[in-house]
Amino acid sequence: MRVFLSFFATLCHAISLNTDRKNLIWAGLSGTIGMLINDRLMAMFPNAALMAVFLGTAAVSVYSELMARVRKTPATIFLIPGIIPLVPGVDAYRTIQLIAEKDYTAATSYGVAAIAKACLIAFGIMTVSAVFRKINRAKRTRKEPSGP
Amino acid sequence: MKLHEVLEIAMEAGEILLRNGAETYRVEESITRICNAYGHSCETIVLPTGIFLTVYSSGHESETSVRRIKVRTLDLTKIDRINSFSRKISSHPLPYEEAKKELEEIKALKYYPVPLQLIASTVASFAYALIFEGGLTDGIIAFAIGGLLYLLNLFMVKSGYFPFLIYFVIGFFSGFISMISEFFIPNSNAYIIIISSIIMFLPGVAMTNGIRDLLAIDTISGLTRLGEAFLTVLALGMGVWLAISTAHYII
Repeated sequence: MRVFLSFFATLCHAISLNTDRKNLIWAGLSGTIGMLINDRLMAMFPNAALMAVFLGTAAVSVYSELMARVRKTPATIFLIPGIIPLVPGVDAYRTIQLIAEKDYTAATSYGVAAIAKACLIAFGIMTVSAVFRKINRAKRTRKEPSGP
Repeated sequence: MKLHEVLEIAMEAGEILLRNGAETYRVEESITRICNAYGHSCETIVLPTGIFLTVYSSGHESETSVRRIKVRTLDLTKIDRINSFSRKISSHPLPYEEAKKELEEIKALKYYPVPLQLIASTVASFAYALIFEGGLTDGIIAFAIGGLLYLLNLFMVKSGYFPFLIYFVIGFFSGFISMISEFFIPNSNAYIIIISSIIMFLPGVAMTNGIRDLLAIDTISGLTRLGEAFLTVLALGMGVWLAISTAHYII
């Protein structure tokens, strides 16, 4: 059910970013994949939320980079809406709420979790994109001698 | 093709890319690809706020142009089109008139109509409310607030307010209405409603592009965009914080 919902949420987000009609469905799927991996991992290892976020983002990134090759469009079209369901909204909200209630100790632990997850989303994208850039560059240098 | 014509085509393509939220390295690559396709070498520096471009001819001539970009929007279709345009040009260089016409066409591409975007943002808020394990009540309230925030954002962007002020106001409204509805409507959780209505305004583009720019060693652009993402989140968070602490006094 969550997986199904994340498809629609991501699809709607893609519409608001004005993604081309023919790529909308594929953009929606990227959110589904991230959510699926994240949920599966959370079910298997309930204490490893950070790992789940990281691998979820990595899965979305791999999917986006592959789809970018298949559909011949920039990877960002699939990547941007895809990572949004993984954003640590609940943690961030709890932090603000606890600060407003002046419970700074509990706020710190939620705040650290929120920041860690946000950074891991960034590193998830970074790891996969770096690998794909490397592959790309290797391909390009191999092609060069035959080109003009 | 003449030097100034190449300059114009490359600059125009670069501007459309940068204006609609492409990564810096993509703008630089596309500009270079277009110039090379017409047999000229070029040197370009792209910042999030402008483009510097010099095109060299095979002799000792060169032409330079600088373009400042003030308003930036998000339109992934245009990025996609310019991307394929620059690839097409590098395999078959088009004559000036045709290339110019094609760029004008891409520039004139329309957004999705406002009602569709409104529906998209309300449905997304509804779906996120259920994803964050809220009930149907939360979903319906988030649906309404999502639509309201979309219209508010549309109005404020059209009136030309400072972006971070818009995010602050949006955060405040979302927080305040949610706290009120939690008080009056049973079975509703303010935090689910706030998160799911605000999530459409999170700076996903700025963050993703910032990381990708950093990877391409575009340090200035990368840090600028990550800073922009951070400030956006800060503005939204401060708005919500203000709303929550105000609501604690009133209710």
